[in-house]
Amino acid sequence: MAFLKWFGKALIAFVLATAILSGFAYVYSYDGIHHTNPTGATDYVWRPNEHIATMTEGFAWLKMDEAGFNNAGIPDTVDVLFMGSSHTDDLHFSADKNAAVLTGELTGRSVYNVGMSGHTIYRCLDNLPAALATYQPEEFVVLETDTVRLNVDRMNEVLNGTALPNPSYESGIVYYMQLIPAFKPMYKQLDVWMSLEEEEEEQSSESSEMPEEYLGVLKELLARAGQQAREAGVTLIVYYHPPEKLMPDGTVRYKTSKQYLTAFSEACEEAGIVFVNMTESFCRLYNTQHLLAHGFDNTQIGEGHLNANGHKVIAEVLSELINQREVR
Amino acid sequence: MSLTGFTFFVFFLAVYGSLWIAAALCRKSGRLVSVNKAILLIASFVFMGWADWRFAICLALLSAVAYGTALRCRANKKWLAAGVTVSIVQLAVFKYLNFFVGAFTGLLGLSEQVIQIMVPLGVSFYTFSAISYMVDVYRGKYEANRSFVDVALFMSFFPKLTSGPILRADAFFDQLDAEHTVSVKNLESGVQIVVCGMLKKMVLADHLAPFVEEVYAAPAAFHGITVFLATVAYTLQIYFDFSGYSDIAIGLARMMGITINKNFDLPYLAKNPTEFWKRWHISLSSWLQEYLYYPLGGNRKGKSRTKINLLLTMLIGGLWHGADWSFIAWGGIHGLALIVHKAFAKRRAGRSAPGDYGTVKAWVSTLAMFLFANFGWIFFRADRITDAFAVIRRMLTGGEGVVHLYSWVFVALAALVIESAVALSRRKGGKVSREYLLLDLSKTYSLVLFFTAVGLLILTAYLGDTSFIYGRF
Repeated sequence: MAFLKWFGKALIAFVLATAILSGFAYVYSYDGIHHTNPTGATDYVWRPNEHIATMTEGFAWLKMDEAGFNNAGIPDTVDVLFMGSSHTDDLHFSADKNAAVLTGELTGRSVYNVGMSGHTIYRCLDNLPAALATYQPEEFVVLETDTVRLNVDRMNEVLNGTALPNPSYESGIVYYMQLIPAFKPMYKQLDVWMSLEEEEEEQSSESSEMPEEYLGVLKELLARAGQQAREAGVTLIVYYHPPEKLMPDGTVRYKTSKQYLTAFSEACEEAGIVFVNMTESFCRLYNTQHLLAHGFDNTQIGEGHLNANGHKVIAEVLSELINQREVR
Repeated sequence: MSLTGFTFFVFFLAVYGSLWIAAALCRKSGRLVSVNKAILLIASFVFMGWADWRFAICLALLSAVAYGTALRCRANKKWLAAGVTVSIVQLAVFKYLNFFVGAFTGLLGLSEQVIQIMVPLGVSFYTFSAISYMVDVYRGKYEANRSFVDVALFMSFFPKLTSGPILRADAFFDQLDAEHTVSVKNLESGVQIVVCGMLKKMVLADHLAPFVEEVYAAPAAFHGITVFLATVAYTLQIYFDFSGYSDIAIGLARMMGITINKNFDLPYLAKNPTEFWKRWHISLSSWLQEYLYYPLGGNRKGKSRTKINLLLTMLIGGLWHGADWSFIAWGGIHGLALIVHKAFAKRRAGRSAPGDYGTVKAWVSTLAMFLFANFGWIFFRADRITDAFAVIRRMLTGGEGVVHLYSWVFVALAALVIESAVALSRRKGGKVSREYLLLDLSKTYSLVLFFTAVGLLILTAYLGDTSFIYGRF
């Protein structure tokens, strides 16, 4: 009987603690709920006007637009469409400082950002036709990538139409659990905690040799994207922002394989895609101002997502390029 | 197996569950004590063997040495000398051989020779446990334990194996023989202490670790402000890391019915070096005092000898942490500070009490001691003594470089201030309470606070590759 009484108290306490923690999570770390994007322009979208809070990597409290993307609003026409991963959707600092918004300001064009977490170059290229059809950009599509060394299997999946989209949980217990703000970040944390020791053991060493079929598959994939863009009457720009690492001697190293960078750049050129490598601009940023393009005041230096400095540099480089190019 | 890892969580659940099952099945038969000892001994050696089975053999051998020596040393002092020598020699071989070989070859201008030796987990801690047990028995503080299981368990008890606290054998043996090992009361208090320790370690210390690591790896890349902030960060990190570990060890032991004294007593509230060493890593500083400083003559052999003894104790204390000149420098800095303070304190005897924080002067002293501790930690943290000077130079000259005002330093600083304020508010008769602030988990509001604390731990824990700092000592 005494135990049952205590259990009842514990249950009440659990509910109250969950409410307190949800309040905390709503401010500290809340990345909202997403559902499948019916247009296919992205795999998923956040709920309309979704609140997103990030204090784990950068500091941001954002409100998505009515379509569930990180924009101030939905423009009537789109001149420049931004596609990309969590670097592009930028949930880490004030929304008015991201590359898409700044590019819009610097070029005087209407820009719409459909960047979404988990949408690496494979997903963006897979979604490109749907994105072009949905938003019908008039001049440019800007696509972001943090790697120029792609995986042959994943490229083939995109080419074959067998690539799987990022999943959304729209029903069942996982969906309802997401409605409690504390549960999703706690689940993610526990998941990482449980797999932490496995990761230490499973350190794989990827071969640096370029697979034989690599160039062929890459060229085919990019040629298809270039063709899709041309058919839609827009210029496709792919910009590469390399991960960076601060070295003990005070210099910054960019983890890019020259062989893969050249291959990617050449494949883009052949496909009629404008390729922009941000390495030199990031390098200049560090050498002149001691600023890094990645990392925040609450994370490791120079690691993780692009920060406001990185977005500013990217916007400046892209704006210069866009302003120089003739409108098609 | 880290005390904050998932594997350890499963391991501990199995051990703890076994203790409860044993309590239910064996209490009436009168065999509970021996069954509990067997469970804990097996668990401790599994814990050690998980890292490397050879470590478990080393530990078993030293336990046998301590056991045999204690049984014979009162009859013949040579046994004590042999037992202590064996303990020190094995520690020296495992931990310091390369250091001394390197120093020797360096002196002779020869090329450096490195001998590959794996350092057993917690070797510094269990060696000191063995020495204190043998010496205490020789001094007649208590009788030698006739049970090898008890002695081996004293040496290997898994919650304190990797990083202490260093226990007194008699207190441990007495508790081992008590029947009430697991109970709801012990679970209630133990689990709260564990959560408190995990908050310190996983939320505060682990968030600070990568920042300190990056800045100390490349001080030349950072502005002096960032380097200073990283030094403060390390001061906070080492406190939250080690006191967090100690809390986890104390809490786990409490859950299993073993009470271990606190190892930290708000060290950054100390107003001088003497007070600092009464509050920081208490079990080690007590050990050094009792088994090194006093045998060297303590303060009984004149002023000069007292100073030499103090310096020698702190230098050896520094070396205990690791085989590097930077640790010796750290020990030397604190040794000199103790000498200066002792000389100063004698002239000003009776003016300041340890618990007195009512004056501006007291707080200025606290801040000065905090900054001095920061200075000492630079040598402790740097990989080499030259790196420590590079850090100091950068802090003093500023220089061009990355400015990174890492927010977790301010969070940790706020946590330290809150912890100190709470402790000071609980003062009794001018003395800061050393008891944990525990909740009564039979009350709903206490349960709300407890669940919230656990939730905050999960939500805010840093989940990267950050081991316990003292795990490598």
